[in-house]
Amino acid sequence: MSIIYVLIPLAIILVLVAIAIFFWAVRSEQFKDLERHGHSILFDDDVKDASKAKPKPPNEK
Amino acid sequence: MYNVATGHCFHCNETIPDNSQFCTEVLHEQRQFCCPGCLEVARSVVATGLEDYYKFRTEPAARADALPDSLRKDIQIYDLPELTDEYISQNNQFAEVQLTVEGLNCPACAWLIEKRLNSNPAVRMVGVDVSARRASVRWDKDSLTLSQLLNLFFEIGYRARPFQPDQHETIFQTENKNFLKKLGLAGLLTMQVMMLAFGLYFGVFGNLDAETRQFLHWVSLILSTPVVFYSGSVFIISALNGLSAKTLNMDMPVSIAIVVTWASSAWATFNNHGEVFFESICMFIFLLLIGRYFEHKGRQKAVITGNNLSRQLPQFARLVADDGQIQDVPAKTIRPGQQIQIKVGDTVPVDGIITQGTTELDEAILTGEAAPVCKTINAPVFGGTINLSAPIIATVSTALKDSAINQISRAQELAFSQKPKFAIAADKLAGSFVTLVLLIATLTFLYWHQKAPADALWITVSVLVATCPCALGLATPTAFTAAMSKLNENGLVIKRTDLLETLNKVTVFAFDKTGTLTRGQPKVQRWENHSNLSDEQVLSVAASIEAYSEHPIAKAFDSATNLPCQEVVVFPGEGIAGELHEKRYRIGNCHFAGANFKVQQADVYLCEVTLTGEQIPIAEFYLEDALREQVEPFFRQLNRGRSVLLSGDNQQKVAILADKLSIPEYQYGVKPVQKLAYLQTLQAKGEVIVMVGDGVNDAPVLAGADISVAVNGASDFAQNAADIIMLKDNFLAINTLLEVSLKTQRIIKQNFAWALGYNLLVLPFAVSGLLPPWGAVIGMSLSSLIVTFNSLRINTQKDK
Repeated sequence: MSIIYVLIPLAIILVLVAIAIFFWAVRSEQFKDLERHGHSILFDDDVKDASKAKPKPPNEK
Repeated sequence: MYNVATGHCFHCNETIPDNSQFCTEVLHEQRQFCCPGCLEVARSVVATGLEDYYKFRTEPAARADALPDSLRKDIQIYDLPELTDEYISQNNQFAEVQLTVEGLNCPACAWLIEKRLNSNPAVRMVGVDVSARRASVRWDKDSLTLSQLLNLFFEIGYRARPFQPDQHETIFQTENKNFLKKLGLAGLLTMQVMMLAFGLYFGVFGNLDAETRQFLHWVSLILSTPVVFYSGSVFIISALNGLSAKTLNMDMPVSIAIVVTWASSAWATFNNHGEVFFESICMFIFLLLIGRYFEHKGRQKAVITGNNLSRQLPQFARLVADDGQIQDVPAKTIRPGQQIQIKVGDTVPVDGIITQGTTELDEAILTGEAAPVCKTINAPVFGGTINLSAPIIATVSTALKDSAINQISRAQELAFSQKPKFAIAADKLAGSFVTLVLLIATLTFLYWHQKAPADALWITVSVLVATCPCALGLATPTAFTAAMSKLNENGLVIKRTDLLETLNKVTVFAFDKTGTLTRGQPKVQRWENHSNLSDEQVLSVAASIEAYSEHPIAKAFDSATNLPCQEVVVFPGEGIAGELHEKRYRIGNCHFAGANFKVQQADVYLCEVTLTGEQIPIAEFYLEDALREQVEPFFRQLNRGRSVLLSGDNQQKVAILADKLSIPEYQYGVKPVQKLAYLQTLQAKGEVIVMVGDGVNDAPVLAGADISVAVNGASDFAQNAADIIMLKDNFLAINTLLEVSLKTQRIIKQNFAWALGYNLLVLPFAVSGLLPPWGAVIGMSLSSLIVTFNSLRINTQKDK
């Protein structure tokens, strides 16, 4: 049973990581609109014409 | 994919006029469009490689009717520095703006907007929120002006407008995030504590050594502490706030239960003696938080809808300078005495007095009455009303902040703050319950302190645990949550749960007339053909000519085949004339049309419209404002309280409707503030009032009523002021509401009876030290389960 002394603290660490990620997600407004992102997966982002891909802004400071 | 029927515009799904020539290739097929606007938008979508939008959308787009050129000019005003500073916040070298987006209906729209904007090098970040119909954009202001940015939206068919979220909304957003964090933390940690609790449950059978048990207790203590003091702070803070206001609310026993159970479990862990209840506390907090979160969400949605309203109000005015030059300026810079021009179809920016021109105005936003008002020189025009038939020039009489519509808005806020408050039964009960439990616990402690000082603390704790008001705490929230979901199914959104209790005390039902009981849109109720033309021909002629008018009456004439007419002239307040197939037709009131039918006195119609061709009478139409779905059955079934009709309309029409629906009392010709005053006199007599309304003019009275209902399609103002919003066009939903509230109250009473009965039953055992702790826990959990299942019955019971 001594394995639980390793596994339980490990589980706690994982939960802490999960909570940290969740808090980050809330802060960065990932939960703002729950209706729409379920559909996002349907939109294929691979644009057929490569030249029409988003041009990166040149003036990166 | 949204399928567009043949003969309908591929972009907006409106009927395509017969001789239209607008088509282009989208998704490998030739598609037809209804107007150059839609065609332009579709071309722009295809040209930027975004035609997938048409594949994924779930709703047709809004019709892009205004021509891009005129719009471009209109939105350039946003580049004025005084406006730019108001809307744009500067973040490092990038500017950020919040926009409300009209026509944003489905996820495909959001995708299209994000794609289109991201392809512009100046745009750094776009976030589109479909449910709130908003977008936020961060971009480089120096290489792209605000109007150019808005133009990107217009090019793909959306009308975007900058706006400023108000303080309320900002607070709600922060609160929402805090709630989510607390809920997430409680959820994740509760899972862990439950897992450990399972280990401990198996330990009851003796195959867990003391050391492991102690270890699991310590881990549970560590994991549950943040749940109690971070997630549970919602209840503890609310209880403390109540205490500082010298009241004991329902959060008080809940907080006591949480803190005492946690403290006694922690004490047991430290001393390695006694029972722990960590999993029960965590679960309790998590479940209660879910309920609170949904309630908060409902309120937030209402605030967002209210704030989007700001886009309804005009922001620009066409100022006429002394030299006759017309210039677009922000409405709030307009001062009394200045001259403004108001074009046809424009919203009047501020209150003023007409100095040139005669026109008809749609004043429904202020009065709630659909019939347009004809006004000429020296008549007052009001901000927020819409100019329907001819351009006018007016002298501004009051600044924007004092305009009629803002006064209504202020009346609403005032009424809201004066709204009578009903104490929730649960809170009242909680007060006496807490006092009783604390008293008994103190007495128990004092008694055992004398008799057996070593056991005193333990027995006191077991009294507190045994009387833990978990079931009591769950009694009302679970019933309310179940009732809310039942109401949502029936198309009712309810903003405050406590009003389910108030609903059972209602004595008066007050209704607005136009737009609430009736649709507020005239319909041809009956018509007579006096010519030798076929009925279809007559209707087609009438519809074709009326298609040129913005007048609400014109909308009653709707036909699939509109023929193009020549030399169409609109006569404000009289009618419209036009040439079709080289014949001159006039349609309007019978005096204007030049026909003398005898006017029938038997019925009162909203209005009477006559069609003549070359001065020969052809037909007469009787228009009526039709009743909404199920209004008559609703009044037949309504068996509680008395009904009152409050309308701004004239006596005759109000009396006829009241008679038709057998409503005993009515008030006619009342203004928004008079409606509120009437309601307040009733309230002063001790009546509890439900108000049902729709328009901006109803907002103050809705805010002041004990319970207010906004009907389907009500103005944002009314929806904002109302407690309950009907999402379906069915008046019988109000009956369902009353039934559900009755049922809810019954269930709550049962829950209370059970929870209190159980607590009182175990109290003697706990006080005498006979109840073992595990017995207390099982009893507590069972009691909570019974209450929860009882509440669910609200949802499962069949409708009669």
